[in-house]
Amino acid sequence: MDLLGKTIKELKQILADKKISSKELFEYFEKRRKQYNTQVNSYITDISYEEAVKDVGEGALSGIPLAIKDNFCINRVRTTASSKVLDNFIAPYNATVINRLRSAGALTLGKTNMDAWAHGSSTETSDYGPSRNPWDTDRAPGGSSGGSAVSVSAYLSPAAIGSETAGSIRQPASWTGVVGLKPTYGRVSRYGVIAMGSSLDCPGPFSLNVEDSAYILQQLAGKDNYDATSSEHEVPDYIAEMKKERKMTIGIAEEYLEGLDPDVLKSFEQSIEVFKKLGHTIRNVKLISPKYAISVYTIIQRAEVSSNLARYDGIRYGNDRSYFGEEAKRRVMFGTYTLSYGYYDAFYKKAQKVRTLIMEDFKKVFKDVDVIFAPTTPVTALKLGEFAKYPFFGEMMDVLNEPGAVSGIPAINIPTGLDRNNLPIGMQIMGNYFDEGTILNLAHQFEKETEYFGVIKKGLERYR
Amino acid sequence: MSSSNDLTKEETIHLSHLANLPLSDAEVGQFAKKLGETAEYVNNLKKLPTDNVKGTANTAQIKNVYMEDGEKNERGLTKEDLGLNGKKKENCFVVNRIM
Repeated sequence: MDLLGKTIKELKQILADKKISSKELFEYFEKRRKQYNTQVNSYITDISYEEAVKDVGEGALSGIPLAIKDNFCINRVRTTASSKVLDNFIAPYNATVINRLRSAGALTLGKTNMDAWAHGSSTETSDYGPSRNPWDTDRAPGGSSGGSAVSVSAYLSPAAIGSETAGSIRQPASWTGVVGLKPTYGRVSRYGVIAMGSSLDCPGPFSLNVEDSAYILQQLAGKDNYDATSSEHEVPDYIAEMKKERKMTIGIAEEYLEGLDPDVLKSFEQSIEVFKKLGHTIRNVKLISPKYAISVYTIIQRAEVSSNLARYDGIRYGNDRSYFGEEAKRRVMFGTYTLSYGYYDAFYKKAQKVRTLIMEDFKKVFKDVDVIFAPTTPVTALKLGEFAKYPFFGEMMDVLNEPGAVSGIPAINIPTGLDRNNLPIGMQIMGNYFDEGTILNLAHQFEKETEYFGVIKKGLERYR
Repeated sequence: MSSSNDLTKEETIHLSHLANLPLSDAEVGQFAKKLGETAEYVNNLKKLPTDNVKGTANTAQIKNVYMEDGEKNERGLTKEDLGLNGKKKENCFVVNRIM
């Protein structure tokens, strides 16, 4: 049976009809990993079927294999966050995300590569080598959840779990041509996720279609007693929300259309036409320039990094602090600087205040529009090595993701076409707080209308 | 080339002590410059007036999260779990000598 590109929903049906067993399905992805992982370096730790089925429940994801970013703790599985500091770390418990997936019957295929500690936008800061973009293996897949994006793009798993602090789901999803959903901050528990920026980190799914992302979010969303920042906000039926017939008002801000590659802009404009044709109203809105969000993000994230990485002392677990790579050191140093005596008010406190301004700005605009559209990234996938040439380059690649990240709103990346080099282009739909239902709905409408102009299908065919 | 935002060598070494990060001489020079560059960029925030604006630490605006006394500890981490990754254990963690 040809399983290539089957979605979670389709695989569930195939399993229910007993056309294959869950073990055979797991082995299918193990075989693909064996065939392609040396080319794309998606997985850095494999999990055997015997380990994966241990203590797994029955539910909405029974028998569905998933790839997991290596910053999620899985009990008795090596968990490194792609850093040699944690080279030999065996997690002693499950992250809440893992517990929920396993309770729903999902099987974990393995751990995927990432920028070390999720510091980066290319997967090149991984201590286990960069992941490679399935569309052109000389190019970066984006990051930090690069390995998870690659695994879905090359169908080394039907869907994957990543995490985003600012762009780490949307940007690699855009560069590898798949769907990636960053939920509202607090929608999904961070318990057991190796912390990067604790006031920013959001776990979320990568998938081949919108429905699968909605389906996974349904399993993950909700209050968790072990993460005090997880929200009690009601969890709706995301599939029902996705399928509603709705006409919406869509906001577009000029501030997000500056300095774009012409192909990215063209694809974005074509996508707007699709939404117009579907009967939605487009309205121009004004938002604070994303360049300020870069600064807010840089300060807050590095401050939180310096605090979160302070625990790695090599005594209770892991190697000592001399094992940190250059990027982690740079961030810890700047974070320490912004929090130190005499600089706290000018940097950290100021950034927290501007964060309030950016949040208020979004809240005001969401009184007039249901969603905000923007390209996900200013350019398509860059060649490996490009990032190191420019200071601050990673932050610039995430410029369009950072306002949403610092304000905590949800957003989804969907593929919208290919550029002149045959590389995927993505756009993002940003929604109001805890309104994942609306962004899933619009993304689904676009998917039904266009099938992403064949982007996802074309990507999969390369890895038949 | 150095700019006015570069940190001094002494400031950089002081930060590395605060951060408990061992740095080589070369790294000290490199970070003095890099931290200065980053500080220069983020200074654009000064252009936005924030008088009377309160800072945001938690975007979900959650306050006062408590657990009930005696709530079941589902985590149930055992002594074995906690010691799983300690390097030199004889039923205890061996720490660095501080005196």
